[in-house]
Amino acid sequence: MANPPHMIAHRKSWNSWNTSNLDGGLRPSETAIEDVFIRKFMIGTWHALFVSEIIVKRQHNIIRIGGIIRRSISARKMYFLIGYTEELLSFWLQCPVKLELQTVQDKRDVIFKYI
Amino acid sequence: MNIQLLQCARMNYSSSRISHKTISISLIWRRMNCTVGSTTEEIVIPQKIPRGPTDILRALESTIVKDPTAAHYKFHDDPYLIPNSNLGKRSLSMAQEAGRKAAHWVRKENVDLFQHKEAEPFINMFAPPKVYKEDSIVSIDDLKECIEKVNVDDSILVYKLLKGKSVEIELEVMQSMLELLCFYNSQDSLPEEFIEERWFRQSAKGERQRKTWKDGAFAEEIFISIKEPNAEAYSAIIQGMGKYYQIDRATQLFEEAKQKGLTLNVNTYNTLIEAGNLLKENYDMRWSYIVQLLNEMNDKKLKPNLGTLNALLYCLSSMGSKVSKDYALKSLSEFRKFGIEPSLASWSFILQIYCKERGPTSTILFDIMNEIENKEHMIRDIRDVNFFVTAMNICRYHLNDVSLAKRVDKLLHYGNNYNLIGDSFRESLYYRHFFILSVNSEPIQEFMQNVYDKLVPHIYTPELSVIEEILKSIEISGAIEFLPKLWSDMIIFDLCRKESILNFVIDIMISNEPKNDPDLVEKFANIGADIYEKVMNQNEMKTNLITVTGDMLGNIMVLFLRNKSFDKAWDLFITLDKQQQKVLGVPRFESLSALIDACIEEKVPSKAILCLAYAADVGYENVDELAKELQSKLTLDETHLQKLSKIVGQHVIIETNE
Amino acid sequence: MFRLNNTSMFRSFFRAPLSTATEAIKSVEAAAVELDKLYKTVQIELRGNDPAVLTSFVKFATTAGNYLNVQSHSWHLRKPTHTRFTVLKSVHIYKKHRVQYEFRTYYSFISYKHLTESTASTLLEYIERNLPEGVALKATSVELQQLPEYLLEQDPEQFTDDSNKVSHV
Repeated sequence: MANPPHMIAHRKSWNSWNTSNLDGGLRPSETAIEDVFIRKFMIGTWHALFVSEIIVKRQHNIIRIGGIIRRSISARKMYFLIGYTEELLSFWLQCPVKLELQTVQDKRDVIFKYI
Repeated sequence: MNIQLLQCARMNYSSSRISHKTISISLIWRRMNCTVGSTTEEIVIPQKIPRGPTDILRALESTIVKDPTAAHYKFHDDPYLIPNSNLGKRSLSMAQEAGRKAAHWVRKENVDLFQHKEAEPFINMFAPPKVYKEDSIVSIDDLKECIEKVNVDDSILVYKLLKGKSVEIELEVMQSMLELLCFYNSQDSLPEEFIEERWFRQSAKGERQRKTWKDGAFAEEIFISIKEPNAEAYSAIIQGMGKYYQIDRATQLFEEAKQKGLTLNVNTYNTLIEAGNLLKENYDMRWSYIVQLLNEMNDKKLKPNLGTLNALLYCLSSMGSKVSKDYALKSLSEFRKFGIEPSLASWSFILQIYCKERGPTSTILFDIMNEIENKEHMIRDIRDVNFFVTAMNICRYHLNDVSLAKRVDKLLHYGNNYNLIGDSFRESLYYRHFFILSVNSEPIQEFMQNVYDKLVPHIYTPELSVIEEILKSIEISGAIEFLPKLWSDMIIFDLCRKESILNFVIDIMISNEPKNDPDLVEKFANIGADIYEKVMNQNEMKTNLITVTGDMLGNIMVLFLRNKSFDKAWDLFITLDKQQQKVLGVPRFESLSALIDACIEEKVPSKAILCLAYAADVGYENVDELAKELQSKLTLDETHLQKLSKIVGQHVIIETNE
Repeated sequence: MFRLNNTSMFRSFFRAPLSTATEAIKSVEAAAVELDKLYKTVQIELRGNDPAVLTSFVKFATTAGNYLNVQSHSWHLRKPTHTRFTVLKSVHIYKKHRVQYEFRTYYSFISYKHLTESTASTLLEYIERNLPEGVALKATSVELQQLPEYLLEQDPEQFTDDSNKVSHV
């Protein structure tokens, strides 16, 4: 493995950040299912564009989705997808959704270690 | 709950963990103190500071200053996704809005999939939408809800359903329904969420006063179905008709209402005053009509409001008679007595009345600015958004005063006043006037530093006319160090399509040779190369081609030569020579002589002779001197001399030989 | 010793101030102007999955308090709470081979001393708005109130005796 389990919280961190798994956290299962839905939705809508994992962060009411995408489509199309995703996900999850994406020219730039 | 904590008898801020001994001792101490006298401390509790739910957010917001180097916050923060040109800004934000509309459409198509309501706290905006179909069971509450949510189509549908079931609808609901339909002309307007479309909708382009009221539409049906229309109903329908320019029927209904002796409300009279503008022919008749209406209002003891003032001023601004200025000021003072402060719309009408294009110069803007400076303004009338554009327009054309323009700008940036800029068209117009005024009045360095660098490219992207003015100013002042930056901006904003501007740039570069700055020379040469490539590689099929003139190419050649790139210059010359059908005209003599000089320096006499041949072909007269120079500076062998003699004639060479 | 009530805990909520009696505070004006409440301490309990995030947030919160002239004291529990699951590694049979998963909850505390209600609400709101994702906050406050009139009027001796009786914590 690139970062085995004993590296968690040292070199390895999580893809979704929320408080559902703490002592006394609420709705862990629904949160996990929602995260699965968000990831599937993002991969599907942004077809072959993501070059990183999709990070889901929940703060208060807002869900922030982050990731790195390739620049294979024009900026106009990207904005269309951004508007569409944010709106549709907020209708589905009933809370504000914000996308925080970063573009990269070449997908090989994202690789940091060959195993 | 927690009785064990109540045990801790507090005493002079002591902690709860203090043992009891301490407590009792303190108690005794206190009692002793009581007997002794007044050494107990007085604790003064301060007052509670009431804070609203968003006060902290506003406080945090006030610490943020608008950052001119960052794009507007609606754009995604990534270099690939930040727009540069005006077209880019518009297309990207509209694309995002189109995405949102697509999401709304998907939700509407699959209503049954979006019915869950599991959020805690629940947000109404994300609630599943209520859909009314022909067979849904509705009640009066549904109708009220639709009216509240300002859903015109839905409310019409619900109303029809209720009528179909012969449900008796009370007068209040009918009245609110009528008002809704009159305000929106029986059709749904753009939902408020689609802010980008609203921002870019160019509503300022000549407000044509076409009649758009739908005759016989649902609004009138409702009006007819109200059996005994009271004053409110008449007011609503007259205002609606006036808003959408159905003036004839509006006045007809007005007469009807008057005959029935109903007292309509103030806003109706305001609408009629504005309508009077279109109704009567000449100015006197209009004014008398307005006076008549005002007298009626007076008789019926109706208190005028801000709308009345703005309606009056609007009529006066389009009248343009000699007395309108007088009447305008009188109205202002009258309304002040009523306690109605003029809004920004009133001021913009006053500006229009006073600062006519062909009239005398009026300095009323100074007085107005003194009144409204350093205050935060709320929008009180829909025409308030015209103020800033009108003010800047007057500063530029009528008064030509930069300091006043700066005051207007400062007012715009005060507090939340930026909201009053209106839509994107007005914003660009405002900045256009501001830029051109500043460029023409201020020294170019100050202009670039204070205005250009701050506002371009994120707050305002200049148009072609503005760039032309800036170039003119650069030419006049000779501040050519700004030219490379301006050129790169022009490329980014996609403004390099017009021939005139390209020629202008080249002319400036030619006439101002940078003396001490080799860097600048290189940059100029690069600009020349850019232009050359652009011009030679134009797509033949497109319209508006830039004609390649010999003059242009000659100038570019000179730029290359100044930068000591002889090869590029020579390539250019070859193009000139060979592709004569593409190039219109010939380069100037100076360019050719410069080329020959460079050839002499590079010691390539063959090239020099080619150049001479070209010059002779073209018909320039001073070829002889050039030939002599060539001979004197370079040693020519037989072939060269022969060629030279063919060009300029034997006598030149024989002379020098002797 | 404070004992935290195990009522339902949400991500961040403001527990009702625990009122306690005191004799030394005099009340000032009448009810025409609303007076501030005085808080002796506002204690914040933080729970998170990542100890580094918690330490940085504690630093942020104490610095924010310093700017508002509020003294603070922070500490953390050395060991987190582990929730462990031991599950079968394979889908079918192989009972001897298991996988263990655990959730760790790290605890951190900040205690602000001597605030008024306005300061407390502002500070708490600012901190809550900047809570990082994956961190839960619980705020407990201890209010100081003036001892009610009817207790003062009673015999003070009796009052001392009462406090002696209810001595167990």
